[in-house]
Amino acid sequence: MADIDFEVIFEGFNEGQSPLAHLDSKTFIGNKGQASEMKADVISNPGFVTQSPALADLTNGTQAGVVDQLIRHILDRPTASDTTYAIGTTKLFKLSSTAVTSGGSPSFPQAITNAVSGESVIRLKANLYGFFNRAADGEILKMPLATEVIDHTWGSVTDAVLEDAPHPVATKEDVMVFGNGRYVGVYVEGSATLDVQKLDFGQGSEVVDVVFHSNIWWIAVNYGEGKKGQVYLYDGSAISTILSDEAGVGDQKIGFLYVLNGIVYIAYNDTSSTGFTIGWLSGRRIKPLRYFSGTLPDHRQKALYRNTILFASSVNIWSMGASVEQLPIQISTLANGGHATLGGIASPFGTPMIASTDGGSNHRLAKFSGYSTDSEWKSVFVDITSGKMLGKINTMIVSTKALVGSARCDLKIEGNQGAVESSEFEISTAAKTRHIFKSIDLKAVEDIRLVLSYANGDTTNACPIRKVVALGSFVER
Amino acid sequence: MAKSKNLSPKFKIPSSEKELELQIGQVPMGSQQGGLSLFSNKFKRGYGDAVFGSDSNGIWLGAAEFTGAPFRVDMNGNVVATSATFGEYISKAGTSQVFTGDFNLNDANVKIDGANKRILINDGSNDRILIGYQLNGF
Repeated sequence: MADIDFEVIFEGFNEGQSPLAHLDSKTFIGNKGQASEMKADVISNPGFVTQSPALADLTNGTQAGVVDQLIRHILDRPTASDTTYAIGTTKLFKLSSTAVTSGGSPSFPQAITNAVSGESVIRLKANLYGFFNRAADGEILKMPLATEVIDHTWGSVTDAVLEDAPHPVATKEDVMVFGNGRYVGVYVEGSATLDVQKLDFGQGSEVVDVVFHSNIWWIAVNYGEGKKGQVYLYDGSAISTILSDEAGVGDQKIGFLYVLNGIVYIAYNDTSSTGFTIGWLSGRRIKPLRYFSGTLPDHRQKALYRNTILFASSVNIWSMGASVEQLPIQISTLANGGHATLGGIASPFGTPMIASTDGGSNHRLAKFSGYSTDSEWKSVFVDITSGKMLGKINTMIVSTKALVGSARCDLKIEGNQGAVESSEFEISTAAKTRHIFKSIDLKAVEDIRLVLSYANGDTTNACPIRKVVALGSFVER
Repeated sequence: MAKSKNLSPKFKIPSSEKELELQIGQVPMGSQQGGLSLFSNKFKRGYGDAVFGSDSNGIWLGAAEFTGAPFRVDMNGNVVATSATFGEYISKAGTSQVFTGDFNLNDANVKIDGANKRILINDGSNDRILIGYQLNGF
C-alpha cells in the first residue's frame, strides 16, 4: 500500500453551496460539505447528500389534461380539505393534492373574461379573489367559495380598474392589501370598501410584493426599472395614507418578501453584478445571507419546504435556510422545475407544486415525487500540492446509509480544475454502508474536487451519502 | 508512518440561530409591545378606535387614525374636539390676559375680554350685546 501523506474529507453536506458558487463554478472557497455546483437534496436528511426529488404531473396536470397554459400563481393554502385554486394566463384552476379539476359545475378550469395574465389568487373569508391583467389594464375577480361563480369585473365595478402590473396580495382578518403598479390597494371586507389607489409611491415605482407580519404590512417597492428597492411598513389597520417606517435596499431590485419563523426575508439583486441575494431585514438594514444564480424570483415563486424557503430561479427550484436552527443556513439547487419557464410554486398541501411551460404548447403542473436522476453534487476544489510535489489520490472511502434495492450513485474525482478526471466508481451494493475504492486512475494533480452523480441512480431508492474520504500521497512533479 | 496532512476544505459557517440574531444595539425597524407601536413616522398606543397616536398629520385620540378622530390637533395647532370643559381660565399666550378670546358660533362670535372686564356678542358684522364695561358705549 502506498504511503498516505494526506487526506481530504468531505462531510456535513447540509451546508449547501459555497458562498462563491454564484460567481465561480470551480471555486476553492468553501467548507468540506459545501458544493461548487450542485442539484441535489441536502435538506431532507441534513448531513447527507442525496438525489433531487423528481416531479410527477398532477392528474390532468398537462396540456393533455386541462393545463393548457402556464399556471402563474398557486394559492399556497387550502380553502377546504384538499382544495385550493390557481390562476393561469387566462383561466382559474381548481386543484387537489393529486389532481387538477376537470369539469364540475361551474366547470373548471373557468375562463376569466379578457384575462391575458393571471397575477395572484387569495382567499378572504368566504370569497376567492383573483388579480389579473387585461390587454391594457388590470382587474380583480371575486368568486364565492360556496357557489364558485365568478364575478369577472368585481374590482372595476366596486372601485376602479387596476394598473397593468404585478399584483402581489396578502390578507389578515378582513383586510386585503395588494400591489397595483405604483399604488397599493386596500379592501376592507367589514366595511365593503375597496380603494385600488390607497397609497401612491409615485411615477416610476412598482409594488412588487406585500406581506403581513407583526401587525404591520411590509411593502416592497422598486423604482426606476428596478435600479432601486425600498421596503415600507404600513399600519396594520390599512386605514391611514401615511407609511409607518421604511428601509432601503439600495440600488438593487427586489424580487420577493417572505415571512418565516417571525423573520422577514427578502430576495433581491444588484443589476451590476452576477447573482442574486437572499437576506433578512435586520433592524433598518438588509443583511445578506446567501447568494444564488439564475433569475430573480417574484411574489409568485416562493413557498415553504422543510423549514426552508423554496423558490424558483431560471429552470431550477432552490432552497434557502436551515432545516433546524442549530445547523447553518444553506442555499442549494434542490431540483429541476420541469419545463424551461417556471410559473408559480407553492406547497398548499405540504408537498411542493411547480408550474412550468416550454413557451410553446407544453405545460405542466407537477409535484415532488420520488427521486430524480437529473442530480449531481460537486465539492469545492481542494489544493493537494505540497511545495513542489503534486497529490495523487490512491483510495476513496464512502460512507452511506444502508443502501436498499437498486440505490446507486457514481463517484469520480476531477483534477486540475476539471481538466482531468478519474473513471466513475459505482456506489451501490445493497445493505452496505462503507464503500472503499482503490487504484484511483487519476494522475498526480494540483487540485481535486469530488463529483457525485445520480445519473444512474434509482427513482425509488435513494443513495444518501454521509462522508467521503480521499487518501493520497505526494509525488514529485 | 508519519501522520497524514488533513487537506480538507475549511470555511467557518455560523449556526442559523446565530446568524439570525439581532445585533446588540441594533435599532429594529419599528417596535411593537402589546398595544404600543413605535415607528419613525408614527406612534400609536391602543387597539381598535381606543387609540392615542401621532403622525405627520398631528396627534389624535379615539380613532385608529387621525382622520375622523373625535379629538385631534394638526401640525398648525388647529384643534377638533367633540366637546370641552374648562374648570379654570383660558389665558392668551404671551400676555397676562385671562378669560380673553373669541368663540365662534356659526357666523356670530362671543368675545370674552378679560383685560377690559366685559363680554361682547357679535352677529358677524356688528357688536350687539355688551355685558360689562365700555368707555363711551357702542
